[in-house]
Amino acid sequence: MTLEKDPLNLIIAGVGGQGNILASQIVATAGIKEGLYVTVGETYGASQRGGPVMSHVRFSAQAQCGPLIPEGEADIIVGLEPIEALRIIGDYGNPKTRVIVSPRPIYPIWVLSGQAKYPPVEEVMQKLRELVGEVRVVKAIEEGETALAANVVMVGALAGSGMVPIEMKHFEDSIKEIVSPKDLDTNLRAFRKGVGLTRGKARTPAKARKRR
Amino acid sequence: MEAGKGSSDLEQEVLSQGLCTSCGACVDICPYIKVVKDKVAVIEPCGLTEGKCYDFCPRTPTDIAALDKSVFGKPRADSSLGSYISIEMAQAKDSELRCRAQYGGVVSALMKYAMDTGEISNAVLTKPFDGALMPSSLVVEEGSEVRECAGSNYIASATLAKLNEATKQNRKSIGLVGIPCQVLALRKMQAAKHETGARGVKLVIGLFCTWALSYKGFYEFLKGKVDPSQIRRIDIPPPPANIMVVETATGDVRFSLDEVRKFIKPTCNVCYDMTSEFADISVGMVEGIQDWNTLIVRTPAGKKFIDKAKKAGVINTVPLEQTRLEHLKEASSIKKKRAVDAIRKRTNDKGNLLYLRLSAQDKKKFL
Amino acid sequence: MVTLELNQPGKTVLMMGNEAIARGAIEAGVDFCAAYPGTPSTEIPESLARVAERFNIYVEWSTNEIVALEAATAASLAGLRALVAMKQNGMNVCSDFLMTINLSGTNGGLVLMACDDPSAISSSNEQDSRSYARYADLPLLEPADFQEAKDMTRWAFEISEKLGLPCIVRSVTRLSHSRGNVKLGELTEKKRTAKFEGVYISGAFVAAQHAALHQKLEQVREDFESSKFNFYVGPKKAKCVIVTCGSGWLYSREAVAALGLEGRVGILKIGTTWPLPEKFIVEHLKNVTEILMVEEVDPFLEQNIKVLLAERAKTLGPIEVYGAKSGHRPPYGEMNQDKVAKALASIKGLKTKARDGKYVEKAKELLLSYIPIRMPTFCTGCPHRASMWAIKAALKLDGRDGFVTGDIGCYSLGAGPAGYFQLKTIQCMGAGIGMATGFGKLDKFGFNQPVIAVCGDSTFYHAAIPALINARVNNSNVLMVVLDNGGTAMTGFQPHPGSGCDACGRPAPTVEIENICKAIGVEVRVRDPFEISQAIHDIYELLQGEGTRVMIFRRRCFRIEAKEKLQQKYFVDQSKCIGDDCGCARFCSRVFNCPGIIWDAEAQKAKIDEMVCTGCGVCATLCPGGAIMVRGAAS
Repeated sequence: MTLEKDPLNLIIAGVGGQGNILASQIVATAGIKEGLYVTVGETYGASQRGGPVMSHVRFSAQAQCGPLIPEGEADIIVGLEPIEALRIIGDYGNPKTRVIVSPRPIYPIWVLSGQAKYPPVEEVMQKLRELVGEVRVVKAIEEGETALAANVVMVGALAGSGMVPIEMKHFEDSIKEIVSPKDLDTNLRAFRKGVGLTRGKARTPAKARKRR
Repeated sequence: MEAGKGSSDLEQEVLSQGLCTSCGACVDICPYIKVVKDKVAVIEPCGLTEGKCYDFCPRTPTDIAALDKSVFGKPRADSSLGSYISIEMAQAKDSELRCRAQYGGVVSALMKYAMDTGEISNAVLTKPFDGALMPSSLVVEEGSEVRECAGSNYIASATLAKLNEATKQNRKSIGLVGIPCQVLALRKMQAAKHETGARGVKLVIGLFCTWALSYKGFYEFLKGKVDPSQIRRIDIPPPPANIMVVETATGDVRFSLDEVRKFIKPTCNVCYDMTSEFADISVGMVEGIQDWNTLIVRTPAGKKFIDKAKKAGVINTVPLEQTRLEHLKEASSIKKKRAVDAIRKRTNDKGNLLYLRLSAQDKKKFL
Repeated sequence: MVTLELNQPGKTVLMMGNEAIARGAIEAGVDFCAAYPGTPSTEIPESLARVAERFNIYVEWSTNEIVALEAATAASLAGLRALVAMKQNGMNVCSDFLMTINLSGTNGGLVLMACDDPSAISSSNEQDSRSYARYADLPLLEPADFQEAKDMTRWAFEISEKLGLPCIVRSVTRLSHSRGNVKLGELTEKKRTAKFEGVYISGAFVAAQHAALHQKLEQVREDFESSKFNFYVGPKKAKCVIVTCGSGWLYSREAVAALGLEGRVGILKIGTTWPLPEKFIVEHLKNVTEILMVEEVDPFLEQNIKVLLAERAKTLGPIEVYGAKSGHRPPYGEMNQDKVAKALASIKGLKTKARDGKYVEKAKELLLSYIPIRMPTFCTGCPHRASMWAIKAALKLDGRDGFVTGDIGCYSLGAGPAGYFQLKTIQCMGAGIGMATGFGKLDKFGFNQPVIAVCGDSTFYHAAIPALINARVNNSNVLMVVLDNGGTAMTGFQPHPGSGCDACGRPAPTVEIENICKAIGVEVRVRDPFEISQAIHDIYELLQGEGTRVMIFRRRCFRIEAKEKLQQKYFVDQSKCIGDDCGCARFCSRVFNCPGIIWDAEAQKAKIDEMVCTGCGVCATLCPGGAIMVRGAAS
């Protein structure tokens, strides 16, 4: 198959511990099932302990890509956390980059200790919109809900958005392959919930701004 | 009280100056100040510019006259001993208790009586030698527990830290036995603008005190002479003996007090109070008389309680001879003069008396 | 991992580089694997352990890398195929054995996976382990992508067996931890039986052994000349060629394409990095006038190529070499496509594709002043947070300007805000107590600061014991605090000698840390660090002592606890929260700094972040207002 852009570059950005590795693994495995070359480059190690983390997922119909997306070449950014989306978009984004982002902040320890400030989330979304054309705010977790598999909800949102040319079935098959049987039900539900949040929905910035 | 200062000021003005009395008033109010043995330290600056720790500390600016007013309702009549209603000699009727205690056993007897009759529901007391030499403060819930706490301590335990811990549970009717710096801090706590459980203390028995020893230095010194875990009692017989007697399970060890004086806490040299001038009741020894205490009743509440105790036959009292009274006044005045001299040596400034805010009258007498 | 054991040769799957390496070993019929966990190598033995029973592989977490290499070599000497995997620091640990086994030789295929971590993403140093191959005169392979990771590992066993030498395969983080397409190969049926015979004594007639070693290298150079892992892509008579190896290959290919130079610049990709396939290289440089060297991290290939060029100067004529030495690429840190493109563009006098100027400016501004920095920290519930707080409080109480020497593990984060900046030194495994035993003998020079050496449980078994013995025997004044969380946590909680199970999850005997300490003859105490008040007291008391003392702070890694057992949910009763006032001043979120507790700006009170909190309950014991409670508990 051909891609409208080759390679198609996706970054999943979040906070260490949010599960961006599982998210990228699902997306990448789905890409292999689609018959593409897929390369995933990941941050491991100390950053996993609550530091910023990113997974670069690169799809190509032609050849294996390197594991790191060049500066400014990210086509899609999935932000599991608002300022992590903003942090990534600087180095790797461009005005055409499309963003799917969860508005739920996770506060860095220097914000908690008073050495740094966490800007209001609406403002962060605004800054994102000043940089790129498309920002979709996806509420992966409702207030008061347990945050189970929020990362997989975001994968579902990505799948539902149609931004990556991968069949829904391939996503679900990947989840079935990767996730342990006892967690399968939770993750499939999370995925489908995410799909429902973006599928068939046009970008509605006004609505997104209303969300807290 | 002067306007707002916080833990950084406390560190700068008191803790780093060797002026901390280890009373514990600043400990256990918050997570930032802790005490181990008799060492108080600010673990982390809390960042607040005013707080309880500074206001409660007996070594931050203390207006003596204002405290007299808040505790007694009037200025002190006697500049050397502070306000009092009566001074006599007393001893506990219970001879076993007297044996257990250092002198007349009066403090133990009174505290036990207060607990047994429900005058107070708990007491913060100090037990000598819990483990290696260091006394420890505890909250006593039953009168029978008072006996354990009998005996003198020559090292200051952070009694008020225990009070702070105890008042977290909203206790309303507490008794406390403390040395002058601790009693002073307690009264500052009760008079302060802050909310504090210290107002739940209904009965304060203050002890006489000339100085306390620093734990670390004294422990190292004693370790060389005895096994600290075997110590039963430490005693300083009245002058002119000038010795310290350490009773252990395997016998007594005596040595000159001069060997021990170098472990006196520096803050004791600037202490203005020998007889716990702000307590309800103050109790000390009587020089030369082993079995009796000097009993000073200061507040109406204290008097009410003592009258009950006398009536119940808990203590015997006899009048204090005039010469002894004069002697007591003189000793207390000497301590005040020494304190002011030591402060002036530190500050080199007649106008700067560190924490002391004296009335014109007292300045005249002791400056 | 299901894909690892698939018997479907030709099927393409997504594999992590490390998984591909493991699969390569499986396809080669590996029998024995020994390793010590180390990022980015850990998943190699982990993958093999998962399929150990299926393929009859013995997999072991050894106490450290040199023991791992020695144990694996035993298997090789007995005729089996053995694999050892380690991070760069592990190479340093096993180097003494490496520098002797090369002389006395091996038998069954022995493959040594050296996984480097350029940019020290998860390491305490940056190091290019390829130099060990030259140093030890051993063959070195460098996979450039995921397929090569599998195929080269498989081939490495053959090379090793042919030569009777260990074969080093070098990977980097961006290969080991990245994922990509791998076509599976065939699985082998294993028919080996272990039997030892012969004599392997290094240093016996060392001249003969060393000469024989050199000869072996020449032997394998011949095989390398025709290896498919060395290839050239690009125009036939290109004057400008990128010479690259390992991770440099994919970066270079993309950089050339990004600059539109496929018609002008060739890429000479080397897979058998040592010894150099000299004929192959010379053949492809015949018409070349300039080369750009692309590799991670040291100019290893660059310098070896320069030697070759010097030797063949007459044949090749002058060739300009651009690379680390010329400043075209930084000689440190990891590479990426942008760095290669920049270097190539400057050589060719081109401009790299410009980014939208306004965009870049806006983004820079955001990064500089708007986006808050996110420092890594201990996980919520981590016992190290409590341990560091106890150490900080005790040192403050002690007041003699004491300090902490640190070591390698999750607790290394204790050097930062996570651990209240307590750790003042970090070098390699065991260096904490190693240096402390020195500090503890400086009293005769007026040194009077108490020293605490912090050491993890896995670190203790790995490297700390000799230094602890040294401290004891020399009566050094040091307090060693062992943080025992039950496993090797930073790398993913692998078992160690105190854990009670082996690499395959089977029960195993334990060697208790306190028993070792007692045998050494030092005072040792054990405490749960969540009992914070007593922990502070313990440390303070121990600090007043002399000689060598050990405090074990024991509590299981909470990440594991939280995974295994459903934890309680905590919340802040804001009516009890003292918050900004005297008595608290936001202690939980601001000072204790657990990311699970945040500040509710609307209510001006603390709040548990339910998405982050894992329910350890320590904050509840520390809250001065008693405001933190368990949901559903009786008040």
